[in-house]
Amino acid sequence: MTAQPLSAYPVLRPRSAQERAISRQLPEPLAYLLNGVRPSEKDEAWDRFIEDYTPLLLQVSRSVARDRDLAMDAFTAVLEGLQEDDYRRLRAFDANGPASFRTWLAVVSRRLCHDLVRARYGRRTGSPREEGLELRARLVDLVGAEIDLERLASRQPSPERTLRAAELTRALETALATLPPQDRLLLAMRFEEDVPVSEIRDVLGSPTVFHVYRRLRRVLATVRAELERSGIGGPTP
Amino acid sequence: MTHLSAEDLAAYLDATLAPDTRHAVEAHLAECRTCRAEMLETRRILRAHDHAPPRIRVLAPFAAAAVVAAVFLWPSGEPGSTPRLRTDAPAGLQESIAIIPVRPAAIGSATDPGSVTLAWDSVGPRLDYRITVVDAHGETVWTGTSTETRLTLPAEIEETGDSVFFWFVDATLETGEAATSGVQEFRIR
Repeated sequence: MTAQPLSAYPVLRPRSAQERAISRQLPEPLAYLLNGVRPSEKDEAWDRFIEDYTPLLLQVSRSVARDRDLAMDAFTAVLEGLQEDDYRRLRAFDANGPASFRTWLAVVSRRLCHDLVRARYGRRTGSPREEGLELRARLVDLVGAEIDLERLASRQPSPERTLRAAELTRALETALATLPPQDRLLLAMRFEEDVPVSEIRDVLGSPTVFHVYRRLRRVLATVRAELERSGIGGPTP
Repeated sequence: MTHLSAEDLAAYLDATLAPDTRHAVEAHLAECRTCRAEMLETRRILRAHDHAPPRIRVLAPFAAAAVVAAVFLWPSGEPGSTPRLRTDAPAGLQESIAIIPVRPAAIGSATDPGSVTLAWDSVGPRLDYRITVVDAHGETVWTGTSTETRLTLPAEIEETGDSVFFWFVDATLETGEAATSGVQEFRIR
């Protein structure tokens, strides 16, 4: 998106010094849209806003709804949602906050698209807490398989093996919970989402994919070492 | 579990959060699949939006490699299986894209048993060759440029844990024509 010269926008007169200060921090299309006084000024500012941000909003709509008709419905829903109640959602953008307007708009518009899809096709059952518990158990299983938890457990003779495996799983849950947040996010992206390493590199800000592989090995080695150090992976004391 | 606010998620994607807030957001992302999926998908949207049509011109040599790759090499559809090479490429394809002849990858040397050296024939003077290495899953693991016709890959290539890799080298000739080696394979274990 390229910035339009000031002369491309209608001349608007913000109502107060505070509004003028906020206007200076907002992207120009948004500033003119939110501070327009007359309806005609807002209409023209809204046309300019759509012109500038339609490529991004279309990208969002298409990503949520692969079907072309649904994507266009989603795009319409986004525009309606942004206009609703005198641009209430757009006014919620914190110009003093750390987020850029473009990224914030992508997040908000994507949520509007999902609202449409959910309204049309229903939402998933299960509370967020249930989903969290289920995912935690799944991550433990996946990381446990990666560090060969079964082999750690199998050092014990049967019938202690089942008991040992349960002990190891609990210890693994504890070990994972004590990892730094970014390491836990790394494991979740790698094992739960199967996110490509190149994408993990971008999310975590790693210099190369090799740094990600190295970090992954180090985290798994740390978890494994923690299990063995706590006496879980060795002979019964 | 409360999901991330639009502001926090957007600032995380912008990498502009304060360290303590970033840690809290990452702790949440590690536990919440909904927010994690939203973060990943929004990141992909922004990336796709960034790579708008003006950048396609720069990628023309890679588009040529992709076409040759599609013709010569495709996955068999079985997870973990080795892609097959084709030898019946349409003649018209070879006429429109210059082919860079390559040599078999040299695995190991007297001084460095773990090294991998790629080599190809020159197709013109003063060219910048771009080399791309992908793993068996199709993920790009390394890219580099060279004005020479041979290159030794960094030792970190072994860090991926894979043994099978594919590579290709591209160049833009002085005539503006794209040149590519097509996809080649090497194994390190």
